[in-house]
Amino acid sequence: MTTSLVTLGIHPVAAAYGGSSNFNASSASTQAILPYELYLPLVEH
Amino acid sequence: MDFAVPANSSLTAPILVSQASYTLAASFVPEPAPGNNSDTLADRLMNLNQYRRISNTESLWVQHTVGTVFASTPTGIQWAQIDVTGGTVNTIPLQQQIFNNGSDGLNRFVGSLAVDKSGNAALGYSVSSASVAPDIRYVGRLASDPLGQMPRSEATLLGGQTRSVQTGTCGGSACTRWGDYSAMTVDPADDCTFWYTNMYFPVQGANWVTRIGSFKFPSCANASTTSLVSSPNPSVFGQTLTLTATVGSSVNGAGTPSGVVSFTIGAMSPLTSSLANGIATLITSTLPVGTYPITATYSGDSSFNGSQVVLAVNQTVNKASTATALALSPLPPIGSPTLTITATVTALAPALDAHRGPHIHY
Repeated sequence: MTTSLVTLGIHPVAAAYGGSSNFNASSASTQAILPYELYLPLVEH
Repeated sequence: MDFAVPANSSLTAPILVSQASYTLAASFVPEPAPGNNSDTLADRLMNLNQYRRISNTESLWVQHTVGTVFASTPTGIQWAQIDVTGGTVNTIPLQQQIFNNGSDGLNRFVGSLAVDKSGNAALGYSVSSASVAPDIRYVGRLASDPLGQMPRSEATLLGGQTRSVQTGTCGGSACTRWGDYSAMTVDPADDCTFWYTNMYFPVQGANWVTRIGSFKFPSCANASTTSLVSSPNPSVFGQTLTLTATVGSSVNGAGTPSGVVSFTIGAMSPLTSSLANGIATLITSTLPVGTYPITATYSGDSSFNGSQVVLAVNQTVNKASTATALALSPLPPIGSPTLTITATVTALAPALDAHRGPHIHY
């Protein structure tokens, strides 16, 4: 687990799936518009 | 022979073919008393000359009733296979034998012989002696048997039937004709099944009856053909893949093969599927990405030999395409430590939806 500080403003968000032995990779992106700062824990499961 | 222009046809002089020495058969053989003697008709060939072409080898099969080498009884059947090369009859038989079942003392007479499409031969005849009421029996040889032998054990066509003898007079003298019109033939439907027709007496008297029986050698079966199609090829992981094996025969009227087809995909264990109207299918969606040779093996049934085919082009299973989607949760209140970002990875058609990539949350 890690944390990070995200400042207010417009933030690009991207996700990339690296693929596997049976699946090709793919990715997506969007924007997060934050009116204030956030401390975000990062959890992957 | 020119059937279109008969005038172009010609007949050449008879060709003399050698045969093993024998003693003329007795003209008559006994039945148990009070039965009349039976005419062996040993002075002529009583069965049609049988022509067969097996794997481009043409042969004539003939037989007649003879004695042994040195005696006129017990009578037996001398049969021969005479090959024909380039339209010329060979003067020495490929094989021949005087069959009297090891000279067991019974008389065998008025035979008939036929050959199936595999080159297996069946020889039928009447059997009698002074103590054995006339019987209908047959014997055979496989094409692979040693030449000059009928090693397939003699069998009767009258198992369980009461047999008696012929009595009475015909035209003022004892009736002696027996089995003149008996015949061994091969069923044209499968070119394997022998049909044997002969006469016998279920009760003493002058009223003979006809017995018709059939049999075949298990090794005689129609060739089958197997074809194999995979669809789609290439496919992608998770996509439904259908393997279709079609089993048929090039022999008209031979029927439709039944049984099972075994599919072998790469190094995997074979999977079987039953034929329905000559078609077996195997459906799978679990093949990992890779390239697979595929073999379909038909194991045959009572009428058809097995056959096998390898897929002409190896089956290729490619990776499935995926799509990644991002979703942001509603903004948390000020001071909240979490913002949820969800990435969803999904396999795209034609891969089955059941195969999904990982879901990642931030």
